[in-house]
Amino acid sequence: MIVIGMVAFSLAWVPSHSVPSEQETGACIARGTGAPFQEQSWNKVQYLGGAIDVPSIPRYWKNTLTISCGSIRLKTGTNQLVEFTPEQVTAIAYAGQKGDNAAAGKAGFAAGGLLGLLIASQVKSVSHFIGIEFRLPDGRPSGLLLRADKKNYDAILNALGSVTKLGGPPAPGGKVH
Amino acid sequence: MVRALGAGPLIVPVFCLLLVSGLAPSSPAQTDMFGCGPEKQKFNITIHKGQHPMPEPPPGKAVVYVFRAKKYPDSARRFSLRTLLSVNGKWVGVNRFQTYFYFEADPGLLRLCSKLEKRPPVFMNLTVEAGKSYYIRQWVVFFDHEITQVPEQEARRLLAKCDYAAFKGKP
Repeated sequence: MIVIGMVAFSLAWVPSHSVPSEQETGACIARGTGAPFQEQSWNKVQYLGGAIDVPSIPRYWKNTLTISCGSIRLKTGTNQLVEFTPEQVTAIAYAGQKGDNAAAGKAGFAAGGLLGLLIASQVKSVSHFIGIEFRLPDGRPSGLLLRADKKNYDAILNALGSVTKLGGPPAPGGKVH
Repeated sequence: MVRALGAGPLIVPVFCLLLVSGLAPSSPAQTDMFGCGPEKQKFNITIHKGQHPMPEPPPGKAVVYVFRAKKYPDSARRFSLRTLLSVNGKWVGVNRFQTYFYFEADPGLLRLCSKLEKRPPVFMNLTVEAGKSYYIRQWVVFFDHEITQVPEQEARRLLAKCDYAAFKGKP
């Protein structure tokens, strides 16, 4: 019995140093699931500036953000590509900004004039701002500011937290270093 | 399998540390990505009709021009609503309808926060390089308040129609 127990213990016990780390395997783990992180992409994101010589387009939502273990890429409406690695990221921040719903206001004004405008002004929406700060290869600080959609901001924050290992996702208005 | 041996006694001091760190005064807005200037700060704005100072960037600095121009429909003009702008948590200027101001900045990342009176702020990032000029438009339509970067050629044409708004913040 003792021998069987020792054999079973030796088979079950794996020294921690023999388990390959995430860095050794080159993989990153999806937060919450424990499974390897798979590349994800979103195409409803506003780019609000930050990258050198990449201007933003007002109210343009069809930018594409792609996050993988090896890179964070933003393809803007002007077909410019901003790309950096998760290791370059120094901070992630999120702010949910409650405000008036412009679309509802315009629709209300069109439908019911000033009364419609007044009623529509009670409709509120939340802007989901996501800030990603990173260091350029030469060490200079840079950063992207994005406005995400209500349907994707949570997934984007989770993906950023998974690949950068900065923790989070940050609380509203908070920042993860 | 990981066993949290001896974690119990650590909980109390760690909790206290977290509590104290939460109560400590937060770091200045310099590190806050979504920080605007102080809420209760007062300003002096002097609009110089017909004046258009357009300085070049001094050595080692960038210049950022911020304006509200006539080209875009601006429903707020009749009410002379103010649009404020802060950079890295510090107010740097205020515009009314068809005015502009400028400020000098060190090279690097600028976190801009634009605020229309008491409305919620909007944000923008701008990475500036020494020796260059940048042009930011503030505009207000219905419920919308936006800031965007504008190409130099278009901006200079619009700026020629704006009056210079000198800004002085009071502590």
